[in-house]
Amino acid sequence: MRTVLYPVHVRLRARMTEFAGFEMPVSYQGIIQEHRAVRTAAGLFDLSHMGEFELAGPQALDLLERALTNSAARLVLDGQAQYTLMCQEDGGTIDDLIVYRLEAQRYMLCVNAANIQADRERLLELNRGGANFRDISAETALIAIQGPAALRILQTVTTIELGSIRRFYVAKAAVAGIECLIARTGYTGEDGFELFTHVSAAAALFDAMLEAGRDQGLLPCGLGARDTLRMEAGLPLYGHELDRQTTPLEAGLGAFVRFGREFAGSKALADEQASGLRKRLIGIRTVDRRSIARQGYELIRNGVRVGVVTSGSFAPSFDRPLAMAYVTDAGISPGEMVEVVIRGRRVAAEVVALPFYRRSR
Amino acid sequence: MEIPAGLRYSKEHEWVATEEEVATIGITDYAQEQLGEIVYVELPAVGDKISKDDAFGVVESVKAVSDIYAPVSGTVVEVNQELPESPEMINEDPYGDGWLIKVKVSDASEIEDLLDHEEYEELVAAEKE
Repeated sequence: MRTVLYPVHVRLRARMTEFAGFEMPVSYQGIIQEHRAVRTAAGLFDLSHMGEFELAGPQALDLLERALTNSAARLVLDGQAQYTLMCQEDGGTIDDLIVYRLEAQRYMLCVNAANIQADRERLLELNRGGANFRDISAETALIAIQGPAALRILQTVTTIELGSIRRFYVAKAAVAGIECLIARTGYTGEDGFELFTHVSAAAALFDAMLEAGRDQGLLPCGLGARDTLRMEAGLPLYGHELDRQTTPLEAGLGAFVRFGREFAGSKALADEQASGLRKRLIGIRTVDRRSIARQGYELIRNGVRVGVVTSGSFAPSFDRPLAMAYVTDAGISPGEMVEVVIRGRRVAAEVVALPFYRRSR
Repeated sequence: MEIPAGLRYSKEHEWVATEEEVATIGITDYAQEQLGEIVYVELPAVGDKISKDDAFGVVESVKAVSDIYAPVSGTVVEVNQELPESPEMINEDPYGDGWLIKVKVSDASEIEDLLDHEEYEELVAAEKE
């Protein structure tokens, strides 16, 4: 599959890769350069592969309350959004997503491209009350602008006062004359916005944004930079830190699990909370500052296997490789040393607290 | 993308420049383009033996790990000492400062078996399809 912006990527000479069934740009000019643009100026991302659902009607909130770990009832204002997760009854994670309250009794969900079908099936299975469900993925494009200059750039092409949209809020407004939902959300560790629009206007919107940021250091960014940015920010990626064998608690996402009510997985998660976590997500950095611990590599301490790497890459903001890993040994804490097995060799690595990167406000 | 005449090429996208019995080995411009920014290189030591078609080293880009396969057999006589500190030289100058190792070739006929630049151009064109 291709997103509606595929011709734009070709025109911009992107290197393409397959991701969740979509031909997506890995990078345009280089992952490191794009990564640095987002940390120092701004980057523009095509995220149109992601899925969007609309849930509406008097039963919509009830369905969200039963299906998701965070409580959508806490979205008390139109335009409020929250990060949340969908779990199996055993607490294993089906997906992580954002719920936007567009108005009372009307919500939009933004889900991972790879999980669109699984999420849809799960929601329909739980939809006993008959909430109106619509999968609007095919007609919806998503373009993100992220970075310290994102607000300044976007403000030049919209009349809405962007400062009035707080973090994790969404508002309806025209951008370069194109009707959008502007959400102040992102996946890079920087301030920024995500623009949902109809696919028919996506290419015009992408080009208008590129033009608006031309002299502001804005670069088009691919999935390569998106991955290094989110890893530095300690944000989980489904298929790496999250899967059906992993609970949100283990991923360090307990803040997005609202107990004291019943939802899919609530019993299993409460039990795990009480009895202790089976594994824990940590950060590591190889002390030679060169060796890259990649997904699947084993962690060893005192000759015993204690964990496995879930994401690892060169981290451009730190000019050294970093990785996230699950450990089963509850005693492992920041400052301690482990070994990571890289092509049969044991390489020393230091445990560090997550996130690696936190922006200065 | 550059494919210089005068070099020999492997199907795994290494290039070989031979002078006397010593072959200088690197990865091609096409290979470095496919990999993206190279951030880590692992090479054999001087005196190590390498055999044709076996992995003798590793290059890692931001995204991925790739083995480098020996286009010829022989004994390593020199290793590019600059690369561990500056792996980006492979991207910047794959046929020059980005060379990987020099090898004393044990079987000169293996060099004859490699592709010439025209054959390698065809291989790359086919891969791009």
